[in-house]
Amino acid sequence: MSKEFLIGNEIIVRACLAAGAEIMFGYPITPTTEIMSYWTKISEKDENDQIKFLQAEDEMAAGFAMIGAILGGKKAFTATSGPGTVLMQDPMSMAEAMRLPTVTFIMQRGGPSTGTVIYSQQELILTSHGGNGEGMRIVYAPATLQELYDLSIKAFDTAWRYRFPAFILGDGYIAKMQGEVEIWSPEERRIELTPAIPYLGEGKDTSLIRKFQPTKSFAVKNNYVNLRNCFNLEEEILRINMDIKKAFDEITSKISECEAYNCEKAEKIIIAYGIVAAAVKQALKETKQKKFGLFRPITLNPFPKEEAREITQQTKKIYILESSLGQFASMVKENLYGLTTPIEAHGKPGVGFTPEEIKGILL
Amino acid sequence: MSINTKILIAGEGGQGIQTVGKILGEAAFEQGLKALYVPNFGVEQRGGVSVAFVQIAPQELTYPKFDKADILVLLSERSVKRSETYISLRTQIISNSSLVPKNILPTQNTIIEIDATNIANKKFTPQTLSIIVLGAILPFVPILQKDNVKKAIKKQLGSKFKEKPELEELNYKALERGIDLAK
Repeated sequence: MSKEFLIGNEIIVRACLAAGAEIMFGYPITPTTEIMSYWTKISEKDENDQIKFLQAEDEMAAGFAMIGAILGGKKAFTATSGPGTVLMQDPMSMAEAMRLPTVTFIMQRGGPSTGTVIYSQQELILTSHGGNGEGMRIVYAPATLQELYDLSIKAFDTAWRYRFPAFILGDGYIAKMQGEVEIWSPEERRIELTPAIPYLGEGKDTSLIRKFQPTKSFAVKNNYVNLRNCFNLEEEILRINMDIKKAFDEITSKISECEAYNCEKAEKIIIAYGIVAAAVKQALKETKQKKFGLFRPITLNPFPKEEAREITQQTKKIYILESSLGQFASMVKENLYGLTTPIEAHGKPGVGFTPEEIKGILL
Repeated sequence: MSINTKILIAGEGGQGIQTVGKILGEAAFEQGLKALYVPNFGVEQRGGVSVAFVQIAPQELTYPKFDKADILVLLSERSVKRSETYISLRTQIISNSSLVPKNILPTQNTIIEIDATNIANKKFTPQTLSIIVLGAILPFVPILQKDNVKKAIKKQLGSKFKEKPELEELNYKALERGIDLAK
């Protein structure tokens, strides 16, 4: 365990190493490029040649290559942002269909299109529901550098334990900012991480496909295993979707997480996620008043619905703050359906909220 | 110091803006204080205005940007316009008089002018500009101890010092010169 002063992108790399990741596939895009550069530095110095890297021709290729490595039994990951997140939906849809344990770091930048390279929260819907399917994905949203480290390790474990694509949804500020973080290893905390075992090839565990993959496989002449992701019948695809949904619903209570800060006696609740929530918390701490509470989903998918409903049950007013135009508000409203408490939503695509500004909104 | 010190450094890419930001943050961390640093940049690889946000505090910090700076460092003419929204009446301005004309600076604020670029070029090396500027900031952040700043300089520029050992002493002299300029 050590306290260090690191930038977010390096914290991600350190977490991937701690979680036992062995290979990264990627394509450079600001603000996540440093994840690649830190990882390749480590890969170059690795005498045992365990830590590997491949730069693909684009984000789609990076995502599919990651899927290949995972089927071959490696803990692989990728990272992207903005237009790269759009392209990444193609492999992510496949991972969703096959319930493959992928880990993808999305550090949001301003859109639409090339936009800005610094900051936004506009990739929320894309990350949670971006594929041509039902959005059966696990999405973690860290608010601090420490949480970025802790949740990144957790994402690998959750993905492999439950066999769903996992995402760390941060933003440009958390990727690029430098601050204090405690670097720890799962061994010293006696945390056992789920290992990666090959689905195909040498040392394969054939039960993985039988147990987890709703699309199943079929063999041809004993030489080949064909993994299906293409179907003839509507009824078949309905069954597969319902199987994936059932499995996702079963794990929801185990993995959904949230933070409620100062909510017990609060008259008004602010709902925000990621770094916007961090700024809200800083504003509340600085004003030292008890009237406002913060509810922060740590998993955006699955959304901590029960807790959100319970905390907002008695409140007089709800504020929703996001660096996008209603993507987060619509998610919150859907989960609070039936509640008649007035909601005041503030959406600023591509721009953050300073603690000073938040005090101005609330007081 | 009960609240955080908010420092904004603005100038041209290549002036070492981000180096100053990183060293300030690192020095605060060395000293057991909390620090947050974030660079701000546009889509251009070169030639844009480069900005660094630094905060130093005794208690935990979570958000890397702020509305108004306590200390604003202006290193180029273009950086004045880029930073104007971060100026309050209380903002202490440090201006690089080698490149920033006095008549475009706000009239209501206390301003210290330092001839940083010229001094770096004539008395040291062009690369020491960032260290002279860092020195000029230090008198306004009294909580930071010089030893920790030197440690952070060494951490940041260590590989360069290994190649050319004489650079270490040169940079410490540049730091002292910066401190004297601001006093």
